[in-house]
Amino acid sequence: MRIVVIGTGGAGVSAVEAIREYDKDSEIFMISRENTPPYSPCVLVDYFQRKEEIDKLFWKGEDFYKKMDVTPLLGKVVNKINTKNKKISFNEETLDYDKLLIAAGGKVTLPPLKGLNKKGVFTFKTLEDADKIREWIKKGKVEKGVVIGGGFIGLDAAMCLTSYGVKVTVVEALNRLLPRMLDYEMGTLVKEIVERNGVAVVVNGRVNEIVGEEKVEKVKFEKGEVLDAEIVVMATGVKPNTEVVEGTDIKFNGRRGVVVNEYMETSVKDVYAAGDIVESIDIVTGEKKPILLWSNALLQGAIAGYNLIGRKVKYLGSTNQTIIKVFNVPVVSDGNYIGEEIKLFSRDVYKKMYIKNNRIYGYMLINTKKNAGLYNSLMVSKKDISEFKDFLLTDEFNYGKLVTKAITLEKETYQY
Amino acid sequence: MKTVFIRPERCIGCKHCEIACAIEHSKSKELFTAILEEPTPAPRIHVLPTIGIMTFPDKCRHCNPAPCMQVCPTGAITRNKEIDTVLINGNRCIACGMCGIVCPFDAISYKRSWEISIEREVALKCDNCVDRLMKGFEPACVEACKTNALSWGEIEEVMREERKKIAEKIAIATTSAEELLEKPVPENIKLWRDLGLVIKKLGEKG
Repeated sequence: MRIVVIGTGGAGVSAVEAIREYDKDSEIFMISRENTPPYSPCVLVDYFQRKEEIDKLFWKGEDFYKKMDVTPLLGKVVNKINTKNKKISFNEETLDYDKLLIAAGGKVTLPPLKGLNKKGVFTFKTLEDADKIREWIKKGKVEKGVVIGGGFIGLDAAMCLTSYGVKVTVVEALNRLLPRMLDYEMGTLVKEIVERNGVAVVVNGRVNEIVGEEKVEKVKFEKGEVLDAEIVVMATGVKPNTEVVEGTDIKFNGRRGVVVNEYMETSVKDVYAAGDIVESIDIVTGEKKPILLWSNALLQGAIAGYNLIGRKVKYLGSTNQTIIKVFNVPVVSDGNYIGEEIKLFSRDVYKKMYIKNNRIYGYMLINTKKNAGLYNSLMVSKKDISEFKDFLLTDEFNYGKLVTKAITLEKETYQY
Repeated sequence: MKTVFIRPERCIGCKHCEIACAIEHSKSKELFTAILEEPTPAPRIHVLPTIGIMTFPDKCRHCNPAPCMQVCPTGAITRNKEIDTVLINGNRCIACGMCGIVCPFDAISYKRSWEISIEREVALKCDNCVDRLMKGFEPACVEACKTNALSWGEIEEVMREERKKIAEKIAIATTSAEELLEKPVPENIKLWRDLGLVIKKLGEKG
């Protein structure tokens, strides 16, 4: 059997590992537009700050393709998938497949701004981007920078630039930082943390134009204000990279991604999809939406891999559990903002949770990771938390409480 | 495969396991020198206060499949199939926190360790005392546990023992063989727990 995997990101790699767990004989091809061993985007920030961390960047080792007996086709862009004849073509070559896995990931969405083609305007998603930005900073005199977008990638970019001594301003169009992770109150707390570390933040800021002759010089807002900048990083969101399936009979749902069934198979037989490119399921609400997260990509990749070789494994859904370290302060977010809000704020630790019908629907933590996994498992398993409600967010709550609840509280029943 | 089994009903919260674990994972592996080490050795087992005066020794269960291992973005977490143990290679860890937030047992903590060449926090968790196992010893926490709340054994053996206990309980309930089978709680443990209850009551009064 010949298996072709499009993409060498998290989903592709975890699929290949899953396949090779049971199937040592099939021929596997991996196609990617990037000319590197598989790398982990989560390590990009560390890699950017300390280049010697490159061994961690290549998270499965630089010899991954050899180890897994995979033929890599790197630096190639897939331009056509012919599902009838089971052929894909890229860079004037064609390749037959028996099973195809599309794990082409996501791509940065760029707003229609004037001046995006100026030198010094970057995106921050791939290894190539990171290298380019670093080169630009080292080559020229870069003192001031603007990051457009205050989400996950935006803050990562801001931290990277700051570590090279660049004075950064983060511009977010909504009223808070990390708008997809946090609500207004928590987002504002993160804003304070960011500002304390010497990064200026502009919320409700809409950039109109990037000004400069050849290189970036200024960033102009809709309201007319102007910021000086020698570098601009566009971190305006990521969407499923559905280009690759456009014009085929593989069904996709606009910006929400490729439609798959519970076995990660697309509308076309023998074509599977996983990772940022697919429309995932929120395991708590059952809602279909893209979940463009590392953990989700690895999970779906593995499931697709098993199903590809005929081992039926069902995908039940994911949560959008995320963690980001904002200048070494961990910020965790999970679930949805549904139901009643309970919160516990102390001097430097902030916790907030959403509860409805005695079930956890979402939570947000700043400056702590304690119990995050426990909250997540309570949320996913839809447990009734009424008896813990009073101390759910305090340090008193822990996993042991759930265990000992099963053993009666009466003195007589302590055993030895 | 051998595992550490936890019987929460036997735990008296003495925290001997925590000390033994911290010593085992220190550089010198001696209590008197370990407390002077920098960074201070940290335990990977945590005795948690729970309902009433009960305590629960919480540690990594070496799940299979392990969520922490599945999610690690640097490939730092691997499974040693020989001893069925999930291990973290601290030198590959970037302390991103992903393993910590997916662990339903909250078994991973982030601290500095003498084993890491760079001065920064890394993910630490139970490693089943690999070094001790290789030498033929049982894990340090099990050795330190005075009440057998922690035991080291094959799952089948432990389950057999548990089944026996349940059978005994049924026997007690259906016959009058109580004196023969019920093991009395040792005097010192009884007193210790009574003391705990008194202290708890004092706490409730405020």
